[in-house]
Amino acid sequence: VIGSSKFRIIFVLFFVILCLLIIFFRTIQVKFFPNKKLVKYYENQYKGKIFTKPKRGDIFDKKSRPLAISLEYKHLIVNPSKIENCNKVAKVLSSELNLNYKEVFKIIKDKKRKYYRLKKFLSEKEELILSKIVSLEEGLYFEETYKRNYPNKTLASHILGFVNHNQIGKTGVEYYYDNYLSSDKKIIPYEKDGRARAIFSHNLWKEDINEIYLTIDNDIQYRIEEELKLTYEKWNALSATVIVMDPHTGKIISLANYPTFDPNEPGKYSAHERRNKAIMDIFEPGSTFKIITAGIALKNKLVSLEEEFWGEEGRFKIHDRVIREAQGHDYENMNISKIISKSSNIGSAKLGLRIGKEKMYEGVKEFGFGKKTYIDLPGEIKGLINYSGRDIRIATMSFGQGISVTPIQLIKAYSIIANGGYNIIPHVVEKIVTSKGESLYAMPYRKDESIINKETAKILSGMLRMAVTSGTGIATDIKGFEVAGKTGTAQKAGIDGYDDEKHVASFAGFFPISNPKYSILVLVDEPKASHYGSVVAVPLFRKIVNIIVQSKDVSPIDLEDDFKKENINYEIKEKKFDIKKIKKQEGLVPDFKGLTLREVLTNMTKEWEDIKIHGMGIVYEQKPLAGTKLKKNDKIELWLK
Amino acid sequence: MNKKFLSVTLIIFGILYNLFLSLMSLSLNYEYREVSKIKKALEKENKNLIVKYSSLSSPARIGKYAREKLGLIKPMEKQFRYLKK
Repeated sequence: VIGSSKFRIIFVLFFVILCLLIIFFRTIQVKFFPNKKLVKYYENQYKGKIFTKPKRGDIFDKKSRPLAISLEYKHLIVNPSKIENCNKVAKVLSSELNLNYKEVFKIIKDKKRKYYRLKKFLSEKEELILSKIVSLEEGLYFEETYKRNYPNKTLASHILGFVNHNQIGKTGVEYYYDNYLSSDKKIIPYEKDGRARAIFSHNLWKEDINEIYLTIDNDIQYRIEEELKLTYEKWNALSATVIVMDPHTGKIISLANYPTFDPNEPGKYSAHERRNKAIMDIFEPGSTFKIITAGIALKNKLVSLEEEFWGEEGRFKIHDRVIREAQGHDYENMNISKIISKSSNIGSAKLGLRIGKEKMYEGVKEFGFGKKTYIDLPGEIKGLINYSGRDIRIATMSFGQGISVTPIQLIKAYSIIANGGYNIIPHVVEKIVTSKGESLYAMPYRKDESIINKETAKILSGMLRMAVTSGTGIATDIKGFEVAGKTGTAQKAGIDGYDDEKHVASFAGFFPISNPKYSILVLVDEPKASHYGSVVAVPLFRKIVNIIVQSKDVSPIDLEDDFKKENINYEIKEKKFDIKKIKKQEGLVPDFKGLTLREVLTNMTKEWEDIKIHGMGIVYEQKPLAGTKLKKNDKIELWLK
Repeated sequence: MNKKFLSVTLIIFGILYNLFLSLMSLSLNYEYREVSKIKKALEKENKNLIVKYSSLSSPARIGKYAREKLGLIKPMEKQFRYLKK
């Protein structure tokens, strides 16, 4: 029976069925009761993972020109435990990478080590040469990484900020928008074929990162930075700052500080150089603050445009303290417009005392002082307001002493006056665009919150215009682009009170007055040789106005606009100097006192060509004296302030 | 017999077609992988060129070149005449 064919068939069938059953049960066991060891073995053989390095989104200016770009680099990694011929590898690597042979050999010989970055950020040439060596030699491989690159170097560095070696933003836009710019470290699983090649890896290199577009324009930013540097060097200042803003939207058109730094190598620069002084430093605004006091007084209807204040013969006593006018002036009687155009401390103090402490503090806060502007840059500070409420504090605050503000707060307040009185949020980011091209984010600006009404804003603008046409800011005025603004010269406070040697010179303003498109702040900290805003800050302001006019779509206008049509009475009626009458008295030295620089220059005749001018503003002294005979080779010297 | 033969043939053909599709997909996958690699390399090169271009066309470099190599100077304010539109 055993040898019969039927038995053999049954035996083979039984054997086959047994085998199939074994396979079936083993399959069930492997599938539903897996052995950890086997699973690990399978995963090592058939599955792989790719660790993607976190990549950063790029930053562009408003015209899509790159300001910060992440570039891919490779590090050369050595695993000494896998290198067999240490001598040969050390020789090749040291010669190709221009490294010390002994040091490379020492690293490679240390078999306990499994990971060592032999060279970081390989150049394209090095990468090409090494790729052949790496493919042949076990124990050598590349590691991908990214490095932030700022192609314009120092340009807009205080806006951009910088990243650390882990590609994490540390300051500026890089820090503030880090969540939008950075991508997470991803682990992408894939399956391998027999030759360990990845399959089904369709999303392996898909990146989802955002791009940021700023409100600044590279060209304007560069030209302003260039002029800022010249001013800083000319006056041997501690620092200098410029902010240019669109007063209607709060868009920062330019923001620059000097000294500055290169974000490609932030470690090489001091904290002073890296500091964004436009938002992180405070200063006493001085006379630039007087317009805020006037604004609060007009808003609360505490003063009329016609009302005159007595100048106290240049000495105004408040309890045991005396307030004086700058340079010993005595303005007699003055209305609110004259207080601003002549920059009267006593007039401003009287306005402040009229306003009173509660309304003064409330008004100052409404204009944005003592609180953050919420600009989209990190590290902004609130500034300091002295809330003691004493009369002398209110009086000094009225002309910008005893209150500390940031440059961004001051330019925001001037922008409120320029735009007709509504609140704005300064911002440097125009939009954030996703990899799909969708606009993710647009910075809002508040248009509904009114700080002062439109009429008050127009009156204040007119006063600032007068401060330019007949005050210390005369040199900022460019025909057709009527500038409104105010100079400021403030002493810096030290441990023992105000320091006579240290000043902050500034000019804040906007143009063109009929429809302001640009508000500008120039601030020079601790200038040497001269400290007056009219001498130090005004020339830079004028240059900036020229830069903007030459770069932007601004055409000149006549002042036959709404501003004049509304017939707002802000003009100061003063007896004007009759220059023509003096001209007729040939051979005699004319009386230049009270004339502006423009009036002197535009009425200059051949006789006066050798005129020597010191300072800016209005003539207060001359040599030789008026009425004396002008001899041959005599030079006329004028001192202006 | 014919029906059985046809069924078996269809099943075998189906299996072979499925195998062919799988192999095609695998082959396309390899091709995609290679193209992706090339794309990535090109993107990298493109970015490097953008940075190089930005560095070369930066206002600071052009300004320096204009001053030092071409001997140009900045125009004076008086040289501009602003026209009304």
